[in-house]
Amino acid sequence: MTLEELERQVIHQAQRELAPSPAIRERHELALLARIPHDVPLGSDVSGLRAVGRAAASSPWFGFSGLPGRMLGVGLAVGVLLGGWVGYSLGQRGADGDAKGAGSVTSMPGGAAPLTPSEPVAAPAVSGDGSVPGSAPSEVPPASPAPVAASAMAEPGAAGSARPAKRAVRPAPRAAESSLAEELAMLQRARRALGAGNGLLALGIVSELDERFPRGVLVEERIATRVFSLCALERVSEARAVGREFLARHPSSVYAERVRTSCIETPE
Amino acid sequence: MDLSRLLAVGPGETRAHVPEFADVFRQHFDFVWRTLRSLGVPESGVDDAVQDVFISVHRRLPEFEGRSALKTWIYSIAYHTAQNHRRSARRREALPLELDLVSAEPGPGEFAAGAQAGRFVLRFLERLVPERRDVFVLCVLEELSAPDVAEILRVNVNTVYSRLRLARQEFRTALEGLAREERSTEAPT
Repeated sequence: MTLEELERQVIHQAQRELAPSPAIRERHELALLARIPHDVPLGSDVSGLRAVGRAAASSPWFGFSGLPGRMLGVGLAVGVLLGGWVGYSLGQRGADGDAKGAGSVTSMPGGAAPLTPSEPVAAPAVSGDGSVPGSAPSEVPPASPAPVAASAMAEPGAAGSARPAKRAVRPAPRAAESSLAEELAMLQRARRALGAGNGLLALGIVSELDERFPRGVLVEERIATRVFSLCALERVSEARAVGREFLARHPSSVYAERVRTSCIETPE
Repeated sequence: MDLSRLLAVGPGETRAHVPEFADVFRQHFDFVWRTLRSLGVPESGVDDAVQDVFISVHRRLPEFEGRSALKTWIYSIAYHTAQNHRRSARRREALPLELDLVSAEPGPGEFAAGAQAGRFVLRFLERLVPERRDVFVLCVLEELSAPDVAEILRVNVNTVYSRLRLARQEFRTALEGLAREERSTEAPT
């Protein structure tokens, strides 16, 4: 091998090795979702964008401005995250029903809670009929100085470290944003668990979400996750009950089709 | 009116050439991440630096006038962000720790397995003087043109060529050393 060839090979290989992994990209996407400032007046016609936004589900920031739009953007972002679960249907059920990783959920409720009364109350920003009523962000109380980005990026193995000195001088994030970031992070964990074939862990995370955020924002995403988790565990009758109630309440949800075509469509 | 574009660039902003932030993120995230790592931002600070770059891009996107390529504009932000983070890292005296983390040189045979090129290049970049390192990263690793790099670094294009030539010489010298090691390893005893 000549020196020139070696140089080309090393550079080419280094370009690949120094590129971020998809997990890093995803983590940053979530952190940015939680950090990007509002820059559209609340009176903007965000609600009208929801339908358009659904068609643009590949764009997590579509409509991502102003609090209602922000919630929409977050919902779509999670939609993108959940997009990988389309294939989570009959073909994959049963393969992962074992309790690999069950030890890690011993502190979590593993069972599927019924939709009522444990189902979180839908926040206005993501109500199931597609409407997005405006709500003034000024109503949201200011949060503690804990950085939103840190919570959104606090995934295991993250390379980043806390930088209290710098972050402390930044404007304090709102409490709602902080909760939202946590919700997003937990849903992401659930998605990863499902992707890794660990329906039990995913279900545990969803139940933990119910406990921690009973009035959470990402309700549709959460319930859809519960359905997919139950399908993964072959708990079809429970999945069917949850899924049908979900479809009745949120017939126009972006997740409706996926729920409809999940394990719940199998004959009883 | 494309409302998504309006939302993406801010109230009252309708310039058609302003790209959407989501697209900018998708298309340039990998390059920004790699550039920040290559330009000497400590590994522990890359996450924060990347966030700073994209927050800055989002804030300034409406100001983007298209006089330079978007890629050049973003690299310019990344480059100056990297400078700030390197300075901060030096103040925190975190750099020695980072150097320790990547101090192990790859063995002679490791390139054959294609596993250590990134570490070798990072190690090489740490030894380069900053002026040559910046040019090497932007021209060689990121494959930007010399005029674009000159614009980002705010130097004459001939200066870019000169620094690039010297950086490449040093890189080849490092590679020759590696090749010599490989030959001596493979030679029968």
